[in-house]
Amino acid sequence: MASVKLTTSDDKEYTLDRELIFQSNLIKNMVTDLDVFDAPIPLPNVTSSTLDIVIKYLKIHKDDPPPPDKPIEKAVDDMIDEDKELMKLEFNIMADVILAANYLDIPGLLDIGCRTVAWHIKQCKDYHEIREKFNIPKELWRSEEEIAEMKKELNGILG
Amino acid sequence: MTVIPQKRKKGASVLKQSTYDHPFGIKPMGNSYFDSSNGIKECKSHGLSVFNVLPEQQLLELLIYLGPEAAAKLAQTSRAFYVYCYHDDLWRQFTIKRFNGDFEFIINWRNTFKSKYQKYIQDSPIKIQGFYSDLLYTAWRCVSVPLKDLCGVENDNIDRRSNMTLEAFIQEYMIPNKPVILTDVVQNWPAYKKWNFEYLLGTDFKFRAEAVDITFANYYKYMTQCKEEAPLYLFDKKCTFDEKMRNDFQIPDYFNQDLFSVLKEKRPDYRWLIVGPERSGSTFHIDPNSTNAWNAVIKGSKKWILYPPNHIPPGVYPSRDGSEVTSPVSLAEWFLNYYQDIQDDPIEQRPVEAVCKEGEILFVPNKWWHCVMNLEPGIALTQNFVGMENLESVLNFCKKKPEQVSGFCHGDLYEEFKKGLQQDMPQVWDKVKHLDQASAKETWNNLCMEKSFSFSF
Repeated sequence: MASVKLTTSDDKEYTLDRELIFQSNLIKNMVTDLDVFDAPIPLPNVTSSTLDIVIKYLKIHKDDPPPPDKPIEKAVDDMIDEDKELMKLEFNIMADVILAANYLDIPGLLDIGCRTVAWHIKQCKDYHEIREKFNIPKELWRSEEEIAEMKKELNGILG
Repeated sequence: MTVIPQKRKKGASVLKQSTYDHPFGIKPMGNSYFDSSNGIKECKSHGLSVFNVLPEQQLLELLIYLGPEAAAKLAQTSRAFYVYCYHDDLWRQFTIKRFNGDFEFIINWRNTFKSKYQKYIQDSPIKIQGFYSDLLYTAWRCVSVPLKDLCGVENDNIDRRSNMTLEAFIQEYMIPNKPVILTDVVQNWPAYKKWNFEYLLGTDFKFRAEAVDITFANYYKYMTQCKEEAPLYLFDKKCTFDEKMRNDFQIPDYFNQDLFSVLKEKRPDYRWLIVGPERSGSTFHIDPNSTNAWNAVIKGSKKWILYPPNHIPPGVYPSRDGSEVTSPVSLAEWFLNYYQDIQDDPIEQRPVEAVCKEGEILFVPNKWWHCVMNLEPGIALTQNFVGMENLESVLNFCKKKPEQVSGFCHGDLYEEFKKGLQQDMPQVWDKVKHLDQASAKETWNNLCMEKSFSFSF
């Protein structure tokens, strides 16, 4: 089994089975297109701690059939327990994982990352709670009328 | 951290509103440097908090997962989230996912969505300062830039012919596989006088527009109001077979060969009514199964750009086997990014292009790349066909690239087509059967070639 070498942004080198890392379309295409087997592939926007999480995901899913087309608004309950466990992360780390999944082109990981973030936002009863949960600094940017307008609008959608 | 509120200008403002001013005040990235030296602080990095690391495209995809309710809540947290969560494309997806074609469009998608739940009240966009995004600004540019400036309407190098004999048409255009506009066909159709928006409003069809089934009344509300980079495009096959419309046009002799007819009810889709607002259209593609096509403009006008077979248009990246075409940009953005550039290309590399006007019909030869932009609201009819001149090309395509056959769900198109020709048109089959016999070895060689291309050993 041939392997692929990767270097993270903090300069750690990983040697991974092709079968495992080929769940990343980026790496798969790079290796098959360019025949780069020996030189380590640099991942300038993936840290080793993020890559560790990505590798955990790849190990959970190494025997999966190819993923179907991307679903929209799927419930977090559809996720398997291992994925739910894996996604118990600080939000800043979760954002890094989504970034890495996007960069490495691993659709399944991107999907569970987005679903989990969406689930957390949906749990919040209002925007104050979202701000608190995601550490979004308070901004005063709307007039009283605009606040009232947006609130009314939201209530309309919520029914 | 608290950010000082920005005063919004009310009434007659000091600055003249430029055509390119984004309603939310979004500016291209380049402006951030200039603004910051004037004391305007950018609001994206703290407003998005941990999500600021994500590329914008990825952030927008994440927001789709939220659904409308959570997106509307998130919009209230910061200026940056407000701008992304109010990006109308998001609401287009929310609306279509929840209501399919059962909506009455009002101004934009978000208002349309809202109007399903509450009495419609128009809101005014909140204009913010310090937000920079090339992605969102470009999307806005593509919506607002005048099409006449964008599409080179004066560039017109396709032959226009009238009063042609069938023989001349075949010799001069069909056999050389060359585009031409015929100016004296559509005028004779009852459809030319009859089909207009009022007429379609009187029909009771459910039309197909991409993944949406919609009445014309609802589509018309949409197409007369929408301001979108890539408007929803009505492409309906069923209505052109309905007796109400079928007798309003006659397929001209030039295009009357129809060898796929031997496939009977199994034949791939081949005729569509096309309706769309200005700025709607199709990005670069090649028509399926190596078929020829004609496109008749009944109302409106269309800008066509065509590149001959094997000349891949700039900004288009087909997969190695040709099965997939990715044009990473929308039609308007293609014109914005590439069309201006190709004006400097040497003449032999320039595309074939023209504005096809009301009453004109364009012959689109097989295997040519093409894109089409509606310059005004329009109605058109199009049909794909197989004649003697492209029969070999079609057979070769179906035999050698069965995985790329499109619109056929009854097994092997090559085998079915062959069977049909043998049964119904044996004299035609006799002329091409050498392809069938000669090709066992050739097909094998081709397969080997393709293999060695797609997997590097």
